[in-house]
Amino acid sequence: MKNFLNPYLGSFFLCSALILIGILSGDPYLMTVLTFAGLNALSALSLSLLMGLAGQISLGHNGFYGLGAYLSAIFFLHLKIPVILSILLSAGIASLFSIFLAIPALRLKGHYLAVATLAFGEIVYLLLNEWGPGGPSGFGNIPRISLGSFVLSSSQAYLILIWSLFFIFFVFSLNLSKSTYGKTLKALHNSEIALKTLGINLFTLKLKIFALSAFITALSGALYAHYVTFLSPATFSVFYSILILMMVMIGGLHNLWGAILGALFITFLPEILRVFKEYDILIYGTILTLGLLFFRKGLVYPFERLIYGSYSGSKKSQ
Amino acid sequence: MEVILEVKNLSKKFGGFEALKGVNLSVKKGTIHALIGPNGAGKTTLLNIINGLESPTEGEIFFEGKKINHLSVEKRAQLGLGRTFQLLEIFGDLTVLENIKVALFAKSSWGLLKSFFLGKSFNPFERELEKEAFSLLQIVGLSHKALELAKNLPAGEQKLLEICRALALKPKLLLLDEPAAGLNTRETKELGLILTQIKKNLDVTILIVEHDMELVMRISDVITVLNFGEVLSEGTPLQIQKDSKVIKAYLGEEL
Repeated sequence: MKNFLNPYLGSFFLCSALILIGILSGDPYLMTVLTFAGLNALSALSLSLLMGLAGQISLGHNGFYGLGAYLSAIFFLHLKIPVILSILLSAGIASLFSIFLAIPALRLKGHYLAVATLAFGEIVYLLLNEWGPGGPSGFGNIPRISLGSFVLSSSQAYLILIWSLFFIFFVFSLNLSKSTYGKTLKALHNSEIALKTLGINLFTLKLKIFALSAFITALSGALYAHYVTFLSPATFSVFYSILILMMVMIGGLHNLWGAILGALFITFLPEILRVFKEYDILIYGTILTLGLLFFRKGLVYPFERLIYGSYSGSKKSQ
Repeated sequence: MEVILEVKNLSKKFGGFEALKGVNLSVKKGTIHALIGPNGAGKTTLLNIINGLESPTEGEIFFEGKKINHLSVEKRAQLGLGRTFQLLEIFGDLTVLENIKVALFAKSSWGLLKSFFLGKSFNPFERELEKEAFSLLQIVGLSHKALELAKNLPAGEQKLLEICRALALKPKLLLLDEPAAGLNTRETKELGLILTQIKKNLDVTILIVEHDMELVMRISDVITVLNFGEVLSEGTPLQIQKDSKVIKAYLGEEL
């Protein structure tokens, strides 16, 4: 039982279970929704590192998601770079963009940082509309992921790929949150002045975690491009940033597990609510509002209480 | 004796209010140097300027003979200037041990990507940090509380934690802002012992702002008295106790 509670093993079991449920069901619809949940979970994880761990808000992650998706597709279509390379390259470039954004923006805090990143996301969205292939209506024929002559084409393959990648990044993120580097990021919430007097350069500390977060979101965007094989700017509006923000908040901001729980909940919720026909969006909104009002600590909190007891949850979870 | 910190002709104006007026101060290496004076005398402002949180209107600061006016707080910390705060600035959501590890970590070159890719168990560096942090906690007698959240400690122990965290920086000069405020008599006595030990065993010079006269007289080698932003007097505890100007400033004209 003790081993099962280990977060590394726990996340391994959860990711494997999601893959197995999808494949064993044989239901292409369920597999698709699960795959999207995995992509969302990856983006939510990146935001959880930035917001939950380091306490820096971003409403511009749609920009990185879009850059990752568009750049990877364009690199392959126009420069004929192998897909795997183009995915990594696009995530790297998006991460570079995040540094250009962060240099002025990270001097701001709270609401001001939120607005600055929001503006960045909006600029990327407008540029994709103006300059992206196909303009507002987008473009297709983006190739599937392949290695040499081996092409990933089935829904099963993508389900496995996305959740495996998520698992790998989740493990890395757990490493970070448990490391002293992670504790230093957490200390940003308590006292920036104390960190300064310990000789820590706050600006580079924030800059690095911002770039890492952008990299992971862009990676998620690039995977999205090669999974869906069709891109249009509408996917990359600010709504996406708000969506993953909702995921980490509903899931629980203080714990990385919140990213998985929130992503699964918010990806599946609209699908489940379809039975309510035209009232679905009303019920969706009501559930999210009530969730934010009454479950401040997120979906992860009841699990923390169950595992660690009533009061020490937040201490041991990260 | 070698001078570690030299403040020359330092002035600070906040609008029309002159918090410091031409202050000269020189702290000798290996001493506990106390800075006392009535409320509003400019003691904390002086510490803030030395440590870089505020910049002076006029004047120069030399640390180990090097002018440091233009250096940021972080750079001054890296040179060996540690400090604690009057209002505690501990990392409350971290454990006691983690508070110290974060401080030790600041001196290392262990980066984001290594922490991201390598788990704790594959990471010899984390274990070294832990050992070092434990031995630092032993100096202030907090090692038995290592795994408690810092915010759950009583105020006295939080003060000690802050001092311990500043020590992790391996400072040459430690600036302490009212470390005894809020401590009871027994805790103050312990604090005095710990500070003398730090001076002797770790070779750290201490510049301390403090209102508890008993403590100041017991541990200080030199005392500087500030009044209305000016240096009123300077000398050993015995000299200061007998100084008529100081008695007047503290107790009023009648004496």
